[in-house]
Amino acid sequence: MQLKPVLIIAFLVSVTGSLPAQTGAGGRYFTRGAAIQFFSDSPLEKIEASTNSGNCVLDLATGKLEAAVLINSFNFKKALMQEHFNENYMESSKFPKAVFKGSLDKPQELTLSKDGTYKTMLKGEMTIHGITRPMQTEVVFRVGDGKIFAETAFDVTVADYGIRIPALMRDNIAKIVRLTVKSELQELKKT
Amino acid sequence: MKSKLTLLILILALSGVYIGYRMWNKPHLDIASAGPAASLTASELLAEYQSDESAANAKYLNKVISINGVIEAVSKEADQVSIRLATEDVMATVICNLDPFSSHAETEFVTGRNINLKGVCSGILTDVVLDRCVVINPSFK
Repeated sequence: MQLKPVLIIAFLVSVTGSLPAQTGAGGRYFTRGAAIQFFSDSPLEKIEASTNSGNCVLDLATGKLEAAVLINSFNFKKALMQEHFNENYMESSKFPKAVFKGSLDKPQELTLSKDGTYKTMLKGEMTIHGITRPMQTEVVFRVGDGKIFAETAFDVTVADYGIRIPALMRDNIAKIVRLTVKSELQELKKT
Repeated sequence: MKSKLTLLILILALSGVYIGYRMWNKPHLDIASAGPAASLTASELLAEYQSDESAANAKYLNKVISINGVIEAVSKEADQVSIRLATEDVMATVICNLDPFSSHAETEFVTGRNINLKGVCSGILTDVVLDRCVVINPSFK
């Protein structure tokens, strides 16, 4: 009779799985292709890097949002910069990803099923280089043509995350770097 | 005597500048000619990452690996072509981002096709990500 609980679970899964998609508020949204850009603007040098493989999951019912990006996936124009970024500053072999966990303010006001522009605050904790700090930023959602776009921009103080920049490079690398995130979100449909 | 010394200093300074310039403009790793540290299928790579992420990172992170798989989806955003390889896990894939610093024989890919790529492993989020990928077996039309 070991089979019984398994059958019950299988039954429950098949029943919940066949329920129609949630309507109105709620629903889960995700992306695996968020574009993240990084700008360091210092008196001597402008440094830019970007990646298209940021991940994000948003649960609209609770407003909970989680995002992550692989440090190694940032592309720089100069190979030397990319090497320094990974090996000396971010230590990507020790800390391969940066992770954000937090929640959106007033998720019930975000009706992503309706066209429009919605702004809300996102508050939570950011982990970069193995160090976790609180952070907050404004997120803009644009809904139209059946598509949902989310955008945000925020500053990161390099020293906050235990990233040391040698004196020799101090004028080449900004103490505060700007990050922009743009992505199209898709509704997570259970199949 | 003095002019010889000046000449020597000048040569040293010039070679210093040259070496510095070469280092500054160091080219990106040539993926196409780099020998892969490992060769496996998309399903195998994902399975290794899902069962033990840190062990898989120790083996593959920042290393050039060769991967085989079937194209599940292709996306193109701001010149960045990303190829998703299907795995046995319906929820996860292996994402191969084509190298922006290499020239590619083809940039259009049909889904369902078998493909062999080489790239640098960046780790796992939902999907395992390989960056700076090049196609090893370009299909000839």
